[in-house]
Amino acid sequence: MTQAEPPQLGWWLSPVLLLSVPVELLTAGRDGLFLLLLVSVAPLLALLFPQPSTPPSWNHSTGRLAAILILLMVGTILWANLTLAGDVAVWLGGSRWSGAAVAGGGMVALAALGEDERRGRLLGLLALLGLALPLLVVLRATDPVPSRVWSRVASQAAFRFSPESPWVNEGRSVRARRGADTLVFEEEHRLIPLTDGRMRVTISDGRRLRVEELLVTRGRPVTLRPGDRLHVDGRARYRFEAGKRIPGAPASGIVWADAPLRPRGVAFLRLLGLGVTLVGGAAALFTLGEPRSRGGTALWGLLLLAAVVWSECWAVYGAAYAPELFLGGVTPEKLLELPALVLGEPWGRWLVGVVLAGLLAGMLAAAAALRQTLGHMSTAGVAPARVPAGQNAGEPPARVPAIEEGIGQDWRLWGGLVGLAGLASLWPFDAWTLLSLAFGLGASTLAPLVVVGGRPRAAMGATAVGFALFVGLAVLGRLAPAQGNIILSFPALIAAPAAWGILWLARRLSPEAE
Amino acid sequence: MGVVALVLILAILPALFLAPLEPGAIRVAGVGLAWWYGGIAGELLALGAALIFLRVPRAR
Repeated sequence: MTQAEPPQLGWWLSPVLLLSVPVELLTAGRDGLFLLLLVSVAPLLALLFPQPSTPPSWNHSTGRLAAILILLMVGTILWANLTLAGDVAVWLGGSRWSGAAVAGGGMVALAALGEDERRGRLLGLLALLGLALPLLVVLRATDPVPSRVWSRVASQAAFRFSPESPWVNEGRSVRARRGADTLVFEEEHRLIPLTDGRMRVTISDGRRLRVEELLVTRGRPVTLRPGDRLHVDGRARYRFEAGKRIPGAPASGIVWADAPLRPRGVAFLRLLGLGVTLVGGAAALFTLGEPRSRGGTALWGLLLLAAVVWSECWAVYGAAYAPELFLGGVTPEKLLELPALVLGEPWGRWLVGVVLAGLLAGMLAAAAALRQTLGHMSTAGVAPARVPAGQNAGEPPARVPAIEEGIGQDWRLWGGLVGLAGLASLWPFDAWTLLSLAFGLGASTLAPLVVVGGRPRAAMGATAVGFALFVGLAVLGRLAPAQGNIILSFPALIAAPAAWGILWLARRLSPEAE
Repeated sequence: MGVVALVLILAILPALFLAPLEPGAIRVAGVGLAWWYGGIAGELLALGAALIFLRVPRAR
């Protein structure tokens, strides 16, 4: 990278973020648009943040602290991506560890080959091709005008099983979204089990619910009534009825596309939490990159735009031509089947392979970009490489300590970090939750330091408070399920303003000393 | 200025969510206004604003 180029975008557009956007769009409909907009606006905002009047002083303590925080953030982003790799492996019928091993092994092997920016760019290009090509084929095979497809989806009366659906013809097992293991049936549905055994159903009987275990025989239909819930384990296979509503899908196209925000206050607080988390997360790592040029930023913006258009089209074409993606809740790994569901055999299956290759290339490109970010760290701390506006591009940035062997360049240290993330990914967890935790941590600790700045004492205090609040609320959110509680879902909503406030207050109270 | 412009671009989307009181009330060429804005227009505006307000280090 030359000194006039903006920092690496690869870590931001990692597969977890890329796939989380269509998941959010399909799950939340119109509310998901805010995440879509944030994906492109948050990094641009990070580039525009003004330089602090009192820049962060990376002395021994604060430099070490920042280095630890960056390692935590980078490690959690790796963890999220390796978790996704594990989820994909399970979806393909393999074991969780095999997915994490393939992706993690690739990340370490790439590092062992040495620092080469061209390799990272090539991987980014392969990811772009691997994800764009299947979408272009789907567009060509269906309707090439996304706005027309959106209109058709939005005016659909319901999302129903088509007679060509694999869940109707050959029958399939159903894997529900994590945390939800039942399919709720909205209308009477004749279900044909394809395996002998027990079927667990929560039967709605007026106001009362009772759980029944039915002994089922392969091929003998079972009729479920509106309100009944079928417990799914991902193993038992069923054939569903053509023309019936898909359990888990929105009530209609317009409910998906244009549902009003309710309750309004909670919905806006959620958008605010999402905004603080993503903008802060972007600010935390992008400010450690190289200075930027207008041309480089334009290229950056176009790549972000391409990612946004890809995510949006994947969601809209999924809702239109593969509504079975809603079955049991939308998950990132299920989305990968879109080309197969739209195009059928053999091309669809082949294109799923192309998407998988693109996804792996995307993970490796993200890892290469993260390693480059770590390359700015010396073993003594962090070297902020941002050049204040007005400074000559050729001059070295101020306050940069001597860069020794960077953690990003030492492939054994990098291997240790990837190994830890890989081990952690064996524990099934939601990849998006992990990624938002990483962004939230950056927003609550690093972002205030690099944007507001401050002398060591204030920086240590603000970081400690931001970190303690963030970790405390995040742990509380895990212990007490955070559903509906926005503060526990987005701890940065409290932790980030607290850290920013301390730095701001320190500067106001004691401008000389601080 | 640049930061304010981008924050405004972000804030317009939730404001648009409030606009159609009835489902699908505001449409542009068959697509909901919020979908147009959140899907492409907001991103283009943000990129334009970023390029305008970006402070580039001076070349030697």
